Amino acid sequence: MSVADVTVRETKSSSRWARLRNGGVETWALLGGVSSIIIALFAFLALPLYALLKKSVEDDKGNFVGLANFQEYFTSVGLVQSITNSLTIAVLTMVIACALAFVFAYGLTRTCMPLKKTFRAIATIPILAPSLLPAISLIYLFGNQGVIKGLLFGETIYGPIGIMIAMVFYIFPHVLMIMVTALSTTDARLYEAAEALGTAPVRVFFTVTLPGAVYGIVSAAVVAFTLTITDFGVPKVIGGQYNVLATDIYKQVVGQQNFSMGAVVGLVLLIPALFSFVIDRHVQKKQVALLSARAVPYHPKPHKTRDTALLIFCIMMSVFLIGILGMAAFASFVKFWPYDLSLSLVHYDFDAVDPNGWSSFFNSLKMAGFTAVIGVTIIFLGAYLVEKGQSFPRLRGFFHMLAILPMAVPGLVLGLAYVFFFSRPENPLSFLYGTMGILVACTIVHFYTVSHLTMLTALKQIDKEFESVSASLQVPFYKTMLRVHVPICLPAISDVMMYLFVNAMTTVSAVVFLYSPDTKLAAITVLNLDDVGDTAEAAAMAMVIVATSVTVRVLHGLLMRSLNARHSAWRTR
Amino acid sequence: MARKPKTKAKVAAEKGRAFLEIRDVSKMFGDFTALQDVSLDIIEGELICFLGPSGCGKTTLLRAIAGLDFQTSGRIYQKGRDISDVPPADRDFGIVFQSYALFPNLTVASNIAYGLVNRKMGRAAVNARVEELLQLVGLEGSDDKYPAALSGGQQQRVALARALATSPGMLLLDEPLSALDAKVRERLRHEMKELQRSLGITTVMVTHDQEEALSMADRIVVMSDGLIEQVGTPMEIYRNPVSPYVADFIGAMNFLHGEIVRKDHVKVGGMDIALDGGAERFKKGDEVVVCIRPEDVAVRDLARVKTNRYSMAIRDVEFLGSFCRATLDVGGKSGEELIADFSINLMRDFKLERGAKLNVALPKERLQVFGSNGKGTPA
Repeated sequence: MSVADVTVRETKSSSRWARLRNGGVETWALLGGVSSIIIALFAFLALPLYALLKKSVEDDKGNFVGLANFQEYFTSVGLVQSITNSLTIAVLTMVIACALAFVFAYGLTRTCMPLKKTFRAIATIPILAPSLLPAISLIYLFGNQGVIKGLLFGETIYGPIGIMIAMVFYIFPHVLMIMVTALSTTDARLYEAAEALGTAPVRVFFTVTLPGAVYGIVSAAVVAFTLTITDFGVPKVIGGQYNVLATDIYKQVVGQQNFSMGAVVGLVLLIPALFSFVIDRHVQKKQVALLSARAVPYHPKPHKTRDTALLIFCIMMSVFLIGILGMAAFASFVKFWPYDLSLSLVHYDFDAVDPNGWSSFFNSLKMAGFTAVIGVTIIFLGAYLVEKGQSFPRLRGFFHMLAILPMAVPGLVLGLAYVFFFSRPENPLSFLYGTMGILVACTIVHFYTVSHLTMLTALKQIDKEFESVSASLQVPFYKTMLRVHVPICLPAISDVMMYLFVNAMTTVSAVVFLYSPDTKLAAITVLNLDDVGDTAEAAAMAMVIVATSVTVRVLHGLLMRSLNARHSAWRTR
Repeated sequence: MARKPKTKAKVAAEKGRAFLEIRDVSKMFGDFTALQDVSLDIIEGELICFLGPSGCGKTTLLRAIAGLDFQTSGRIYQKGRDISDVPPADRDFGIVFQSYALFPNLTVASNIAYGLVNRKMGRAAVNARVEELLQLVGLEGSDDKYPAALSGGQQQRVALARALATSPGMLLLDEPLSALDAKVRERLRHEMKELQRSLGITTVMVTHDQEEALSMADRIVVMSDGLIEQVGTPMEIYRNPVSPYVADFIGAMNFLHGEIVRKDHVKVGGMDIALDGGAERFKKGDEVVVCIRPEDVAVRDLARVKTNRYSMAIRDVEFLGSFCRATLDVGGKSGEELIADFSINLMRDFKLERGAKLNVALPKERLQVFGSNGKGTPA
């Protein structure tokens, strides 16, 4: 290295320091903002996961035992059987759900059938309910005293069949959303070209439609697989003797208090989730490259046979979705199933059957409210700093990576990791353990990624020169953020708040290890009520959750409408 | 370390010359060199244009002047003050972007007042200033409209008014007219130049549109691949480009490939072209490029002309509205052709059409010669 090189390097670093010092409040605000969010994600994501990892190589007394726990796990026939069970269920559910969602999405995007909006609305029903609801509903339909038990030809609903049907119901909206996007983003010109060349419709389907949607289908499959293998509510309620990984964790930790073994199962569950996560990220990158700005949107032309066939299919699917919800609703109002079918509100008297009763519902409201408000604030600030920050590119990149990570961590694993990390008295954050605070933190982290990406998309649509303009006018960036970015992003902010609220109302897996008697949540109460055989009360509580989610949705819709009316002067969309 | 630049700055201030001094500024993006040792003086009150194709570094240089993207090395002085490491908020400039970057949720008046509100000005003073600026850009009465309700040209004026609101010492324009229709663009070109002249504000404009640069700029900086090719008035750049690159980028130009046959004489195809000096640096046998603008090819009054007179056939004629562009056959084996612009009058008077033969002259004083390696020196 020559003397000149050294001088250049020195001038460079002194320049950097001079710029940092000259930057004043703004630079420090940016640096402080990014650092505190990174520290928060470390404390509430990275460190707990490390605690989980550590626990898996320790015995119950905290001594290091190497891979002994893993050895014990993989030599236990019952536990290993769960892996096979989990994979079987996940793969089958994935195939069925993807096939159904693809046809449904095809009907919504590529036909001229009527009632498209209605079908779309019906397809979102499952999002509003905890995953326990379809399982409970299936028990009423196909259980020992089920209405249409005969349809199973002697097979039992308690086991793989029940898990799969309930899972298909539960993951349908998630898979459908991706399929609809995949089938909507197509170039009409390709179809015109194929038609001009006289291509047969079947060949068009296999050479244009399917290849265009292939990344979406892979993405949907990955989501279906992950959601199924990590869900805990469904197999817990309807799994019977059929053990899967998710229920194993619960049994090891809550049933046998074997924390080390719980940690091992948690890590095993993390593997398929991480794997799907990597595939999904990879596919998403390719999907972007597939779209060109010059694409012309596709408008289907009427085709009687096709439209009728898909209309019938969508009606059948809607009957299935409404039927499951309807059964749970009906069961919650029936006095004494199946002997006295007169309607009453007796099962809604939760205080009579559960020590927490209605209070768990109010806990849920409180938790969901905090999650939505605190969550959206942190998520907006985080996304803003990533997208609009002008300096510290590496730090912002690192934060973005951390923000994507929660998607790869199943709720059950996250909850368990929190137990290991926050329950230790020497942890300065241990005061959170057993409080509402830890439930809120866990839920925000659990649903961070999707919210973060939604917010990023909204911010990306805002002119990237706003920061430059405001700097040239000597207005600090945070003032412009509040005066310009927040108002422009209000629709996305509202979307994210609703997403967080509804998920906080319905989630079970992330919080099942973390609640205390004072902070028990409605969805947990559903689980407990079902556990002790108060199935009708469980259905009733699930319906209360659904009703709350619906209300929030309606409020959200009204808010959006009034926002649009008020801002119609400047909102062109 | 921090003190050194200050003494330098003092020296620069004492000299008291350029308004903005750019010294050896380089910018790297990873391995890519966007700017390489660029030095330039910008004089107070002038409108200077950075001109070049996309990727030539013109926007990078503008953003370095603004402090929006810091240079990797080199220094920048504004009125003798070293601003190399000063953040944009502490520099003294207003900026207009190609997208205008108007805040969509704020009215025209609030957009223009955006930088004023932060300066402890009274409400009345702010309103008065906004009115003054609206009048300046010819948008009286648009106070309460939102940007979405304005046409592109009107939005551009609001952006300009917002940039001028705080009376900055320098105005930076990043492709300010590129997003507009051709007609509006031509009108605004004129208006902006008028405004700049009447305010006397030092202005740096980035553009890839040579017409815009020629019609608006006091001086043009032609850039390519992170380097400055030439700095000069529009007339200098057009008349005396220093390289084939500049010649080609600005206006249309014929590049005739030939060989020096004797002092001040080049053989191109079947033509022997006499040069008016300027080729002393080449020796016999050197390959050179002779340049002439299409409008400089002479046809009228050739009776007295003795040098560089040739008879050529018209290979093709392209009608371009106010004039025609003819492709002429130079003759010889090289297949070189000459482009010439003829007025409609001339076309009629000489009955020029495809296949016709005519006499043309290449006036000596209009010819330029470069080495065939693209530089002004021998290959």
